[in-house]
Amino acid sequence: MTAQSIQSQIENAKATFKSQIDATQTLAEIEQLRIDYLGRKGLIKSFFSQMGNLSPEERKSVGQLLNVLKTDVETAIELKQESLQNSEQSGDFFDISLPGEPQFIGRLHPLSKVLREVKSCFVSMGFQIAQGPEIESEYYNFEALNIPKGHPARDMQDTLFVEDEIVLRTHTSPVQVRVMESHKPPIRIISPGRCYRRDTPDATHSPTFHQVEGLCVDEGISFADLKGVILTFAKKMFGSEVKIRFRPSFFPFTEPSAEYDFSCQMCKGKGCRVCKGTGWIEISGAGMVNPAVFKYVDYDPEKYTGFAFGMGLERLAMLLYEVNDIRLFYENDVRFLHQF
Amino acid sequence: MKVSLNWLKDFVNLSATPEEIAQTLTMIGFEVEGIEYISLTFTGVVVGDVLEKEKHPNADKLSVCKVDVGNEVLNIVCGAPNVAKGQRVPVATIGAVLKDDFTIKPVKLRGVDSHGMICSERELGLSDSHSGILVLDTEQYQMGEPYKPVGFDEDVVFEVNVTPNRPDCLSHLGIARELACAYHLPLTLPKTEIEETELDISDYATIEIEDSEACPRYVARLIRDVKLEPSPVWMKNRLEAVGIRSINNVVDITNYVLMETGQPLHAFDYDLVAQKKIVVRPAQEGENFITLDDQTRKLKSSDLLICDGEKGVALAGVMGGQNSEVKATTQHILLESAYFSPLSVRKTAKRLGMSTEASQRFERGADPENTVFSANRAAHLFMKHASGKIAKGFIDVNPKKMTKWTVPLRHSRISKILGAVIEKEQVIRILNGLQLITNVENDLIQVEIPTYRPDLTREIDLIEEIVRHHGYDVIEPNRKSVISLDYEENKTDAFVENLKDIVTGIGFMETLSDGMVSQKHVTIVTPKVHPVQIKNPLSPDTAFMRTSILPGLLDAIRWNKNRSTANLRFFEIGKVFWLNAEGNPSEILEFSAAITGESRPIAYWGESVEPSNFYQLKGFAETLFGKLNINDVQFASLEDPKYEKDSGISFNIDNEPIGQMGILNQDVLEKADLEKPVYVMQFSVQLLMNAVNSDAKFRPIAKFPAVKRDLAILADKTLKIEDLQQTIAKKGGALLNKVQLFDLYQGDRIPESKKSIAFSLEFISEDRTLTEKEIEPIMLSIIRELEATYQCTLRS
Repeated sequence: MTAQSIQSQIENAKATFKSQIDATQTLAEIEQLRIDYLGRKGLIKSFFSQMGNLSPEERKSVGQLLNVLKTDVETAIELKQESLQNSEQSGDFFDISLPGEPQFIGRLHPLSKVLREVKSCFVSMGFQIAQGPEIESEYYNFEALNIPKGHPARDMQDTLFVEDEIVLRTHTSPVQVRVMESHKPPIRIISPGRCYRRDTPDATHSPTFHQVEGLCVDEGISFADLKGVILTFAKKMFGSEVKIRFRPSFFPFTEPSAEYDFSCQMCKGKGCRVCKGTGWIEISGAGMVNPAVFKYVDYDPEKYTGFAFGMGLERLAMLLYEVNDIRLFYENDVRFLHQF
Repeated sequence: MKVSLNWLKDFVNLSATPEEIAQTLTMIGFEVEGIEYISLTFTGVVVGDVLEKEKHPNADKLSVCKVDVGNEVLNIVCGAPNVAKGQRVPVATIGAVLKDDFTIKPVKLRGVDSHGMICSERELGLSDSHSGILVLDTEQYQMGEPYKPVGFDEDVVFEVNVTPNRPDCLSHLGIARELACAYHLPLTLPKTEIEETELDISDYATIEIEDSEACPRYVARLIRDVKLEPSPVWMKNRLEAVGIRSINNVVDITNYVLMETGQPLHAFDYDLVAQKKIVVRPAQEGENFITLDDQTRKLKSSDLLICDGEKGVALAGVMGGQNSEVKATTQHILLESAYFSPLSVRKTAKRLGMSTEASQRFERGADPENTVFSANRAAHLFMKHASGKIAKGFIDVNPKKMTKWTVPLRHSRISKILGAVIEKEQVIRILNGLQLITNVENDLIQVEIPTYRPDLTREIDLIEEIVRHHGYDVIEPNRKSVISLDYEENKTDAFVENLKDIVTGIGFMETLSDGMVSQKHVTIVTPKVHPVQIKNPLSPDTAFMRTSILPGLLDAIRWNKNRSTANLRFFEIGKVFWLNAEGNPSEILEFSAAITGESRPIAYWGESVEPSNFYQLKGFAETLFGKLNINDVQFASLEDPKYEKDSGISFNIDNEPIGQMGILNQDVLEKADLEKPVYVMQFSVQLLMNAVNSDAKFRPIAKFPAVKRDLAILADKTLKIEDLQQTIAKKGGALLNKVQLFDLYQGDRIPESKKSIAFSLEFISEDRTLTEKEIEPIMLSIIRELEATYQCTLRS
């Protein structure tokens, strides 16, 4: 055998292999082809065994050719195998447009989602998270918040009773008193939680609802600190363009008291349907802790001052997500829950 | 409260627009919730004289009139039967717009031109009367002038939200005082001049107060010979504008003063007052009394009753009695202007479910000094508008004399509280603007508080007044803060948030359900728990606090199934409430989850979709334990009436349950109006949290390869896999690292009473590569033990 004849045989084998592999249609055929070419008694092995008769230079060049052939054949067989494997699974062609395996998507309830944002905002300002009971004594829910028995301010909230002097808390404010009772200043807490009122359910009222209470007490705390905290909160929740407004109001446990509004983000304060043309959205109440409340927890009102604020979680979520009916939060309709 | 702008203008010379005034009120703490404009419903109507009236040539019921409207004489076709020559009438001229946007245009009526319309009351929107055209009084209306009904006032009514600390502002005078301060304007008080007659009231009436706590002050005036008639139009208009029905001049005057000064008044028919004597005393227990609204009220000794010499005549501060009511025959009036204690009135009003204009004011705190002023104001009006003759003097029983008081205010304290400086001059101006008298001693300002401001007793109250009128805008938000570094993380909250992440991560949707539920709801899964009951629920559906999260999840499943979504994975974390052994409510934070429907949310083309099953949920529980680093959970079987037989698992740590799971049985599902199957798990969040192993320590990773052996056996069908696994583990000794079940078969190929089980065993050593020689005897001893204890046979 001459080097030339081996070389031309290699060329022939290459061409033959190409037409053979193109013609294969099953994995079995491919396997046969592999044995024919790469097997222990295969064609490529037989070429190698013929090289003994050649001169060292010829051996080198033929060896190179053979190695290339071997690699090409190996690669071609692998590729073909893979593609046949795939097409045997899905018929004749591979369709990437078939839907993927559907999985259940778990989601947080929108109120939990908003609460997380609220918490993260206040935690970043050094507020700790405090909690209190939902079934509460009248003392914590009213009296210690400067709403004595027989005070008309009790009419501001329609209260549900469990026993005499035991109520379902009508707001998260009792946590203020509980925290101050058990801690000395500095105090910086928010307290999210469920509240209950004897309200007839409608699009804006739910007898079960959520509030987030805030309280900060220390030496030298002023209304300017309250405004700073509320402004930071407003910007985090509604964007850096938002403006805040405080209007005088009345709550028995704060003085001076205020209602705070955010500029309407729908119309950028120009006035629209959402803000009823005023350019402002009512958020909730706030104020400086009333010295009368400090008396109940034995704080010296000359030494310590503080601010407190509240907000309705449902209201925030309704504003952020443009939800128009509070009852949607408690129906648990997946068509609603999936939107957040 | 409804506030009339015209009325306010009696006391303060306001020039701002109604919208500006509303904004001002809102920004000084009196939120205006609505503005109502009272105006004529027409334009372009003038007063005209009918010069001629002739019958229409082509219509029997029409007439053709020549009407002089001053600058021209109009030809008008009129259909009213009462039109006549010489009448003075309202004429809608061309271009006039009447009620319902009806515009007057020139028309031809049956061939005759008509240049306007003579109007009826209905066409002008004044009343429903359409019996004919409105004929005007020639004295009151001048021909050629724009027509405006005599006594009609355009007005603007504000709906003002007065906070409960401001009883003084449940009056026009109170609101006017606030606006005077806001606009830096003087305040004019209402007129109280009276001409008294010779006759002295002290000869005609006496007042006795038996309970001076409940009634610290009682003032009375006697007005004789009143003439009952309709009130003047302006008074009617104002009362109606603020939502009070006009009755007659006497009743209207008491209401007018009430709305004006905030002092509730009561007019007794003097001739019906027995022994001409008023006694203020506690009611007798069980005493019956008929109030003005014809209701019989059973009284208690805590109620204060105004009596004459014989009987009760009014429920103090709440409502008058029927027996002494002013009526058509009334000649003389005994006028009550008293101060009743807020608590006493509130108690009675609350108990009887009566909330009147009077009780609302007394409950919040009326002004004891306002009694005389308002009695005089009413007397003035009785004189002017009811021909009343005012008896000389007034009776004033004032056992608990309340006078003004002084509150010191440190100017320096204002900036401490507000974090902004308000100049002393401005502070003084605001206080004086609120009619408070100030006395300055360096930093200290002594402020004299009148009795109509019971809310001002402390320095902080005054600081609120100052910032209220100065505006919160002056305070710049503080953009930096010094905070304590002793931050204490709330562990429960952090755990719950982590738990939510894990559970949503494995495909569960979070739900929130109502905390208040029906009695049926509490019995669904917790029939034995003592629920917390609400004493005054809105409805029986919300009369109990939830005792478990599960029924809420079942509600959510039913809601969605009824709306065609049946493949669901829900969870909720929230408080549930039980009465403990002592009968006190206790709160437990519960985490529950439920799965139902198929094991994929929607159909999948790749394989047939399996229904959800027990082992899926068990797998979720195991994943949860894994994610939370809760090790060593024992899965004990649990008999629970809510689960199907043998399906309950108690998750135990050191033999104490931390949670459970199971398949809800038919009975529970029927109560929840659902169909099988629903798989649920329930945990106490606290116990779950306690079970977390939080101190992870590194253990070296094995250096030598593991050796794997499979073990296939045939065992009795009723044997528990757990028992077999434990036996294998015991016999496997220290070198056996893992035992995993990888196949389970029951069916035709093996005897019916048997199951085929295949375990994969992994052996490992920390210090050497294990050899066949070492493994073989262990495998043998395992097999022998399984054969001996459980009569298993090795499968070939």
